[in-house]
Amino acid sequence: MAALSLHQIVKHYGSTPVIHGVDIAIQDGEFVALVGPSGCGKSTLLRAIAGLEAISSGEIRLGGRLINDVAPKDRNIAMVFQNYALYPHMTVAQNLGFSLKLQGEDKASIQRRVDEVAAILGLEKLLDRTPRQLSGGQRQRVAMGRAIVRQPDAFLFDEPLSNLDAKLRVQVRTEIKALHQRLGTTTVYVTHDQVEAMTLADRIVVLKDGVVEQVGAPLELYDRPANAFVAGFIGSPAMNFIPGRLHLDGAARVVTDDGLHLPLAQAPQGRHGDSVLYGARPEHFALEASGDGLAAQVRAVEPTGSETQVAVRLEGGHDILAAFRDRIDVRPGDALWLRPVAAQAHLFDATSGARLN
Amino acid sequence: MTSADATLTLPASLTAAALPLPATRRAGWLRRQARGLVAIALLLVVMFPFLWLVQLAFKPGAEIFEDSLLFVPTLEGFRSLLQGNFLKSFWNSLAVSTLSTGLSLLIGVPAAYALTRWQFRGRRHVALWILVTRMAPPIAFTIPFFLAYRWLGLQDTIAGLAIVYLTFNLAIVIWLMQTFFEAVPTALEEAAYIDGCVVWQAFWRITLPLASPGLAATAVLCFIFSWNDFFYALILTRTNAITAPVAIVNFLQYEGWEWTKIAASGTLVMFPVVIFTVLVRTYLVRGLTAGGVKD
Repeated sequence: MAALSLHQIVKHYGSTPVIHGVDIAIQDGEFVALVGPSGCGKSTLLRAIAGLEAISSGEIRLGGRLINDVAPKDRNIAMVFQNYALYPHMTVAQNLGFSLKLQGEDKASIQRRVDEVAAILGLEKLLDRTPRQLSGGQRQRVAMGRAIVRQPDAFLFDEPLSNLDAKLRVQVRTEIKALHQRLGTTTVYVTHDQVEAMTLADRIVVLKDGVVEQVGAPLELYDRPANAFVAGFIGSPAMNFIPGRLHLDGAARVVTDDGLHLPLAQAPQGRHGDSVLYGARPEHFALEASGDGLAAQVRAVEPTGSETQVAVRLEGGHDILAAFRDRIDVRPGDALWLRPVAAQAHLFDATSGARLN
Repeated sequence: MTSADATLTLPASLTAAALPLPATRRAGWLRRQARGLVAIALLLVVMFPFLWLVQLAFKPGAEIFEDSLLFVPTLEGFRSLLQGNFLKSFWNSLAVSTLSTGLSLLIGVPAAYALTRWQFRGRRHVALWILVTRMAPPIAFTIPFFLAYRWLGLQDTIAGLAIVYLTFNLAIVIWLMQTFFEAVPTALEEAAYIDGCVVWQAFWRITLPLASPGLAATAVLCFIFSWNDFFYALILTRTNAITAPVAIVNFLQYEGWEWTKIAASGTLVMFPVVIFTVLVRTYLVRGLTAGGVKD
């Protein structure tokens, strides 16, 4: 196990820059998720850590050792690939023991390690099968087994759950979490699914266009996103954004062009009249009695069982989504009155997207 | 139509549908039989030269021009081959084909791998220029080869002939193997690098075993090309390195054509190719159709 640090990582493909000076410090034993939309550079960054992709400049250190020019095989890093990358012509046991065989371990100790790992992951009965005889979830477990068998300094996961169905995804997600808690190995996990990142990681790094937008604990990112991009990316269903102007005369509030008044708990940064984005998560709306709050018309009702999501159109044409833990009896076309919870409202600069409150 | 009407007409339509069933079955049976017969007929047409040659090889010399298939089989033709120089030319063929196939794979397979995986400027051009060597008819290279070989002392040698076939086979190997290597996902090699392989280990332990059906198909094609070549063997050999196809022609002599020997040697020449192909036929089919459909 070892700490991993990325310092000023830059990567160009020809003349196209894809990563612009990324700095991330990962503690020994920490589970860090890299999230971001497609093309944000998260997979490139992971491949750079693995040594599969050369960086244009910067420093990658593992356990204090500079590994920029170290071959992948000498980095003592294990990686789980998106498509599993199991060797099709080898049995599960051979797949698991391949790295140990290359290290010149004797047969008995390879067998012992393979058996140990198979026991951890419940693969004992599958050791003589080839990958094509396994289900998606089993393949995923073999891929993880291949990674843990070597007792590496760090694990890298490249969207490992994206090929699994929804139910299996949740199951394997729990297994990954349990495995990390058991082994305590430094882990970097790439995903575009922010729910995966939120549930698994100790810290999340949000990337956009090769730049780190924010690094923080999952709930920190959820509760206090540094900018409008992070606010919109983290959280499902996503945060509602309503553009308006900051009013600091009297109680601080945002007033939209069509005259809606959106409450703020305290005066934010910025000046009276600034263009801002008012952010409110779907669950941060309260139902008000008739005639009070923002008038809205129900467009669609989506009950999920645990909560009810209601898509509404506010006066002035703003479409927003509100979610309620209590079951509410509304139908499309009904009128509602909503009030955003001022203490949990987010405010961002309309131009830069930076957080203002 | 009311629902009452529907219930009335239903049984009638059911009976109507039920009646032609045996006829349909009979038609299906006939169609299957007809298909089988057509297949056998086509097979006979395709196999006719082959079968005719084989039966000629076992026919007594005196009856060689008789059309009757009723004869007492004899090994006379094969026996006479043992007494002459044919066996030597047969071994020459085997040596030349094996050597040129082996060399072509030894050089061509790593070249194909490099062209598939190594991203360098002009990669496509290099691959295309390799193919260009197969675009001119082989006869165009006869005089250069003949003169060069006379100067190098490679005329009438097994090595010389193997080198000629190598130059032709190399393009086939490189182009075919590129397709097979492309079909092996790079993620597997990357996983191998992370597991502790260097490039050649990843190639040897992961990529090559996965491309083995393609390798088998390519080897068969190279072998058959070298084995069947008549033209270069005729031009570049005289006595020492003469190959089986040329030796067969030598049975067409001034004094007469030795049909029994021709048929027996022809049968022998076909034999290794048939054996080789049958042995690797599963690989051959998989190899030659790889990439055609998504796995």
